[in-house]
Order: sequence, then C-alpha cells, then structure tokens
Amino acid sequence: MLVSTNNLTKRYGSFTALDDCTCSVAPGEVFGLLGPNGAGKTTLLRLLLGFLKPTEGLATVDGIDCSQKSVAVRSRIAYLPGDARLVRQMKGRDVLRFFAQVRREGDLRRAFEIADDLELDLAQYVAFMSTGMRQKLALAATFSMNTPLLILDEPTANLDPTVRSTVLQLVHAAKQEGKTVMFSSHVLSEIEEICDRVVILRAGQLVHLQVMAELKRQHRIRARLHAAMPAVPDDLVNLISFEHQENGEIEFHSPGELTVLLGWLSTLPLAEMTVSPIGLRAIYDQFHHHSAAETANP
Amino acid sequence: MNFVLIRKSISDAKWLFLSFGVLLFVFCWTRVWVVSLIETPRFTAILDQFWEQFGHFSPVSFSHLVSYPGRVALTLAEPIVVFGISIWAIARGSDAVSGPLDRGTLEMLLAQPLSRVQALTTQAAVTTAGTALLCCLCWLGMSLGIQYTVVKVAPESAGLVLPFLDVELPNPFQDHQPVKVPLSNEVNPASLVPAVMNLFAMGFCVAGMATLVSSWDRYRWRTIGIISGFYIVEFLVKIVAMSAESLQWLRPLTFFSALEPQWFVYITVEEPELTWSFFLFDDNGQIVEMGPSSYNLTLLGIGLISYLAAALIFHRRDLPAPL
Repeated sequence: MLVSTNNLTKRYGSFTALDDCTCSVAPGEVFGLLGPNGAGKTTLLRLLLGFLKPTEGLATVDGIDCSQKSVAVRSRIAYLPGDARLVRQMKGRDVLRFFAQVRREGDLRRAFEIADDLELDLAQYVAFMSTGMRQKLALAATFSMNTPLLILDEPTANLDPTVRSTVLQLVHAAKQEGKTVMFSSHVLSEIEEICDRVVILRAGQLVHLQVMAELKRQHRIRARLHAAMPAVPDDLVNLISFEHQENGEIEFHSPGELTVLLGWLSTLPLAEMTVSPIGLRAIYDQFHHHSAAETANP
Repeated sequence: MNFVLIRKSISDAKWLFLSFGVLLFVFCWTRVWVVSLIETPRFTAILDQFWEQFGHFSPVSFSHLVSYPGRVALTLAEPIVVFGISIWAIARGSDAVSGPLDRGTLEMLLAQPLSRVQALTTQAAVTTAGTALLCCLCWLGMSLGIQYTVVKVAPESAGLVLPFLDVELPNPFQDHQPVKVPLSNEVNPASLVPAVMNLFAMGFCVAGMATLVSSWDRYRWRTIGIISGFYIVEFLVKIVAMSAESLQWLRPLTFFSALEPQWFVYITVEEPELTWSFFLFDDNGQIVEMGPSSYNLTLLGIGLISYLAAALIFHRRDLPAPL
C-alpha cells in the first residue's frame, strides 16, 4: 500500500476532527474522500502532509511516517489545496519556475505545457489573476511534478465547468502514468467519474468504503406492476430484492450483474420500466441524509 | 540551504530593503552634513541651556557630546535610524511564519519537500543579512557625509614661546576667525564602526523577537501589534530608567539598555583600548559596568535565543488551513 493510516486521530481540545481512521490506498489507485464540510477530509490530508501532528495513530506514505519524516514524505507528494494561495508579487511564469526548481521532482517544461493547455497568461502577476486563474496556475505546478502520489483537496472548487473537465482529464492521465491520486470533493459526479474507491466521512469518522466498480454494477429498476407479484425464482433470490411503492409501483434493487435478471423481469406483468444505476448519491445519502443539500448535485 | 528558497526570500524582501536602504543612507549623510550648519560654540551654548535638566538622558559627557565625534554619533541615536532598523526587523520577523500563514502561501511552500526549520532559517538569514547591509548603508552615508562636509573650527593656538623660559604667551597678532576644515580631520569614520555594530545587534534582537511571536501566531497583524506594543513598553522603560537615579533598577528590564551607539563612539574615541572589552574596571580592578562587547552580546544573545525558540515552536506546531 502506498498510503496507510492506522487508528489515525486528531483532536483539538474536546473537538475530534478525525476519529480512529484506518484506511489504505494502493499504488495506481484513484481514491476519493467524500463528506460535507467539517467531516475530516482536509484534516486527513493535512495529517498525511505532516502539517498536523496526530493525537493518536499512525499515517504512512510509502512506508514512511508522515509525522516523523514529513520532508521525505512530501518528496513523494504533489499537493493541491482547494484554494491555492500563491505569492502575489510573482508572475505566473515565476511561480511555475519556483515550484519546478525548489524540488528535484519538478518539471518546468511539463508545467509550461499544462499551463498552455489551460490557456494561462503566464506574464500576468498572481495579484491580478482571478481565483480560477490562480487555481489553474497551481494545477499546472502540481500536475507537472513527478511524484508517485497526488493529493488534491477539493481541486475544482473554484473552477468553471470547462476547467473542471480538464482537471478530471489530468487525473485520468496521472492514473495512466501509474500515479496514485487522493481526491477530496463535494461533487459526487466527479468522484463517481474518476475514483476507484471512495470513503465517506462523517463527523471525523470513516463511515463507509465503497468500491466504485461494485457500485457501477448495482441498479435500481422501477416499474408499474399490473398484477400480483409472482415469487422470485430460487436461483435469483440472492441477486435481487424488491419493495412495493405507492400507486402500484415496484422497485427492484440489483446488487450485482443485471443481465441474468433481465430474462425473468421480461416475464413479469410490468409496464413503464426504468433501469438506472444506483449511483453514489444513494450511498452518500445513507450517511448524510440531512446534509445532502450541501452536496453539489451531479 | 535551498538556493531557490533564498532567491525567493530575497525577492520578498527587496522593495522593503531598498526603501529603507535609501532612507537610511540619505538620512545619515544629510544628518552629518547638518552638523556643519551649527558651529560648535553655538551648539555648545544651546546644549548648555538644557544640560542641567536633560543631561542625565545622555549616555556621554557634555564635552564629548559637543565634540564633532559626539555630534556625528548622535546620528545613530536619531529616531529615524533606530526606528528604521526596528521597523525593518519587525516587518521581516513578523513575515517569518504568521505572515505567509495569514496570506495562505505557507501551505503551498511547505507542501514541497522543505523542512520548516529550513524555511525559517532561510528567512532569518536574509533578514539578518538585510539588517547588516542597512547598518552598512548607515555607516556609508555617515562616512560620505564626513568625507564631503566642511566644518568651521577655531584655529589652533599659535602662541609666542619665550626662549629659555619655556612659557607660551598669547599671540595678539593671531587671526581668531574660525577656519574651514574637512570634517574628516575631526572624525574618523572607523570610530563609528562599533556603534554601527551595536545598531545591528539591536536589529538582530528585534527581528528575533518578532520571529518568535510570528512562529506561534496565525495573523501577521496581531504579530506586529504584539511586538510593537512590547517594543514601545521597552522603550518607555528605558526612558523612565534614565529619568531618575532611583529608577536605575529598571535598566536590566529593557533590551534598549544595551543600545548605546553614542557611548560606543565615546569609548572608541576616548578610550580605544576598551572598544572590544566585555567589562569596564575601576582602578582597583573591580567591575564597574559592562563593556561594549557585553552590550552587543546581550542583544545578539536575546536575538539568537528568540530565533532558536521560534524554530522549536514552528517545528512542533500544527499548521492550520488558510481561512
């Protein structure tokens, strides 16, 4: 495992920002962190970067203790915060040059290429750039680094839809290069699109780990039932569940492969049938039903 | 040391340094030139009127204060010079941790494989070098002022010496009009070097203390407020301590007690063998007071301890996310 946390806890007095978090991230994986504000996503990432000292537990990157040897850890990490603040007196070009030269993993040519793709004006001073432009500049600096791990803390928070799409492409490209990405976001669709696994955090606790490939196989089938529901065949009992809704509607839940069910479903007296993937929202709402409104709707 | 980090730190400091550099250089040159505008007899007469009431505020004797070395040395005690160095030190010191933390730029910097101590020492090194250069500019300004200023002095007495009796009589034919001489005849710029070093030690001390406050604070405005408040209190303590003999016990409570550039010039001119001494002794060999080197060591020691404490605090603290 490239990243590993074991009973990681961070407390500020009586407030627990992260509580007993144990998880791991495999090399080459895109790992998502999901949760509302204050759930502990940023605390977890800052503990990995050595910005915070854990109250209890251990976090390692590539087997190195994040708290004790944070410099060695950060030589393996490229980090992008949600609201990247850069030195205002520097020009865009100088910012990229600084980040490329301050560490051995920097690659100025690659940084200029990404900046070019993002249509950045590098002759401009940071002070005169919009928030989105500054974020793009930080994106170019971060994605140009040749590190095995990318930590992106809500990287698309201040970006327009076009650039959001570019960010997701950059994450895809990083994954293709074999890099590991940790990606925190409020936007479910982004997480759903790019992540291999997702953890959901609530009030500092890791409450759910979701493998996205498994989620993509799960479906919800809604239909109107015109007659009594026949019994489910024995060989399908474990592959489907259903519940009756109001107005004669019925909803089936398929936790696995859909194709084996379609034959049986076609024999039922159903009309107006719709099939849709379960989606991350349904999972997320199980844990954050009351705060779902905070989360951006895909 | 990371060369790229040093370059960035210099770039951060350059405009502040340039503005203070020009200010101090021009002021010191001008201030020395102003010495030539008031002839010594007039200056003596003016000072004499206030000496009884305010003489105890002077760290040097009346005779030295009215001499050209004493008058030039006053430049280093001028508020513009002392506060100029102090403001530079506070501005730079407060920008060590709480400054970039407040602006949010520390996060991206420390996300790179740089240790916190490395970031702090780089900033401190540039601040210290800047303080030293500003002090050098003060000295250069004064030296050029000394070089290019002409003053009027009373002509040397040329009496009539009676042969065999070895008695000198006043020469009634001598011209008593003051003669113009270069100030460099009266003041050696090298005699100002120890005093300028004292000024540097004060700048290092203030920068260290500002860095210490900055290392645990989150907001730069609050750091500046705390250190400025402390600075003013220390300054007032020195004034109160000097105002009466009975309040002398306050002197060890303020670092300003170790800032005496005029006294440094006095020692260098009048008792050059004591210029680098740690203690001053009386005729019986008993220590009567600290020497110039002890003054500088006190200031440098406070600064160094502050920097070390700052490094320890910064190394251990949590870095909060930018607001």
